[in-house]
Amino acid sequence: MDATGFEPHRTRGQAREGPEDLDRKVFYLKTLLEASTELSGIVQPQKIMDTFLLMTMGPLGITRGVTGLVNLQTQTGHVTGRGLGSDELDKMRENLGAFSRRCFSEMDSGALLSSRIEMVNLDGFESCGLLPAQTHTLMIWLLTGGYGGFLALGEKLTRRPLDDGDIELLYGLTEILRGTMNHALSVLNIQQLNADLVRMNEELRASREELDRRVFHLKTLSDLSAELSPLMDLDRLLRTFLMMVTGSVGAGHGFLVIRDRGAQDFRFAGLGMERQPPLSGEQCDRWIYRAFDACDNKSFAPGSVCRVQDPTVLRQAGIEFEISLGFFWVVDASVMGILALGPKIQAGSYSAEDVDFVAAQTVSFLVYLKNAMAFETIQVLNRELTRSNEQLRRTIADLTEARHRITVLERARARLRSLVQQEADRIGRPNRLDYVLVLLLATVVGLLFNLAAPQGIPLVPETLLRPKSAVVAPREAMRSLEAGTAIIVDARPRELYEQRHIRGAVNVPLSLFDIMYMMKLSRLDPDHLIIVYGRHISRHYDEELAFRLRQRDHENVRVLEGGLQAWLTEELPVQ
Amino acid sequence: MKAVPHSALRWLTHPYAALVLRLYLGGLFVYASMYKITYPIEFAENIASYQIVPFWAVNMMAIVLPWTELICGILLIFGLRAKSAVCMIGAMLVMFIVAIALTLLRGIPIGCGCFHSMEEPMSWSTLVRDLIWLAMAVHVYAFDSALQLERRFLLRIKDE
Repeated sequence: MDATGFEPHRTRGQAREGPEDLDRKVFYLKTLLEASTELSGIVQPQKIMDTFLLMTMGPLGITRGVTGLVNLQTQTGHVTGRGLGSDELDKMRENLGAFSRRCFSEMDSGALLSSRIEMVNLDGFESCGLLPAQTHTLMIWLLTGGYGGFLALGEKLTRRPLDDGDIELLYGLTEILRGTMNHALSVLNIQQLNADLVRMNEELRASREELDRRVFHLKTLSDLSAELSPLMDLDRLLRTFLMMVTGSVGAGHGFLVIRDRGAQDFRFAGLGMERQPPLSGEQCDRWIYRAFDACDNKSFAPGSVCRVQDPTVLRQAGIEFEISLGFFWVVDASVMGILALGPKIQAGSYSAEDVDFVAAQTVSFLVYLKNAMAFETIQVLNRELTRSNEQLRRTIADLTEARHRITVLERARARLRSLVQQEADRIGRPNRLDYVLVLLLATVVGLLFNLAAPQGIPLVPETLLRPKSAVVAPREAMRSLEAGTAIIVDARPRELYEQRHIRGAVNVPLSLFDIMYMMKLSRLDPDHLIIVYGRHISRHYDEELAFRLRQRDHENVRVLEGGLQAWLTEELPVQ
Repeated sequence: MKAVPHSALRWLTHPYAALVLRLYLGGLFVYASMYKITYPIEFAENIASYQIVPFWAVNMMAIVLPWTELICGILLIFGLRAKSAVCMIGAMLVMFIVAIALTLLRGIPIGCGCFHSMEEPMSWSTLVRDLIWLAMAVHVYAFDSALQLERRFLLRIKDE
């Protein structure tokens, strides 16, 4: 069998082979060669089918024919015909699905092999109307890629049925068509694959670009994190973030405002600005409120970032550049702020990716901002703690010193209390010094008073300072009394005199001397002996009376020696 | 039955009871000293009449003793050096009691000369009176603690 599949048919026609047959065979071969040559350069299935139909109907002398290519999966395909009316062709195209199911249903059961070209029995086809009228021959075949083909031919001009040679030619042509169509389908498939490949390459390129963009974004975010993470100084953090976010989207200007309402503080960082705009806490509040009011989805959730839909509301005195992109963000309930970017350095507006990218960077920035603020708070707390510790240390040192001092003072106090107690006890007790002082004071005051007072008395009896009076012994005195040459005078007080006195004695108490003298002694002769007695341990009355009598010119005055006691000892008379 | 003596004892030993006695004794001695200071001659005679003091010391005693009584009485009234003052008063009372006892035993018919010179002759009631005063002095010495100027001052220091 050759490549065209002629061998079976040549075997069948070998018995009648003659010169005429050979010419016919040559004709057929030339036809096949021409068909093969003609179809080999065509890759469009439609054109292949047109050419094939033309080159099939001509040599066979057939005036009507139709051929088609059916996708067995989709039941769609191309149909082309010659010698048919347009309505017949349209009907054929409309019924292509039903025709395909009718013809190629056997393929599922394996009746139609992929390598065979089957000539279909037309019984039943005429009644169903799936084929054009006057169809005498129908051939179907399978193609690669799930396609099937068919060829329907009408009657020959000679009105004779197709003989074996015609059928062999038809098989040969169909085989060429099948091969060409397979090739064309393969080419088309390759073209489709190429197109798919190009499309996929384009998609891959777009994906890669998207991936590169995302990688860039991620790298930028990573760089942002790497740059911001070690920064704990709030101002440096703001400046660094602003530089990175403007650089990532190609913005030439930008600024950042943070308002901490809890601490009544605000921070401003600008890029591409000559000076900071004049700001106050109230202005910051109004600024941030305008930004919040212009947000599309207003949220005060911590860590939220909202785009300001109308960035022009962020214009403020001192901001010279036009604001093209703005964000309002919230760190927590008391800390919030705005980020504003100027136009891109290169012409063009911010894309949605840029907006998302800036928002993503801002979200990352909020984390580090919160950390930095927390770090500042911790630093403040640490400073306060250090100061408190220092104060506490000083306080403890002071307390320790005070405690030591208190201990010393308590000891001193206890000592003082003890001394005071001892002194109090000592003072509470009678003291010899008190006696001495009282006696000394009484002596001094008494002496001074006695010295100054008119009724003062001498410190010692004057009799102690005077010369002693002459004395007379009791016996001698008794004799003088008995002789009547003397008078005896009792100088003691009257009580003592009345208690006991010498018999015949005259009582002249010193306290009543003047009266008693006048009464009893004034008429006495001054030379008359006067014997005076009366003394005891506390008073020498006799000496005093003798002194006073001598003052009254009584020169002969004697004191009884030993007094009344000596008189009694001598057992002299008393009464 | 036991509560009554205990209460009575508590009142008898109360510092205010001692204060009353202290003021009484102080006033008594201040009063007694007035006459003696004013009339030293008569007081010297009174001293001499006891026949106990040597004649050369009578005048000196008549000068010093009244002022001693006066100072001790004042100290006792104001609570200054009260213990010492009451001791000196007690000593003087003992001295007076001894003198009175000796005089009574010796039968010397004199007045005691305690407040003025024109007194009735002393008797054993005089001795008992002085013994009562001596008991008062002992009570003051033992229980007196109220309204003492120096004690108040010292207690304030001690409380601090």
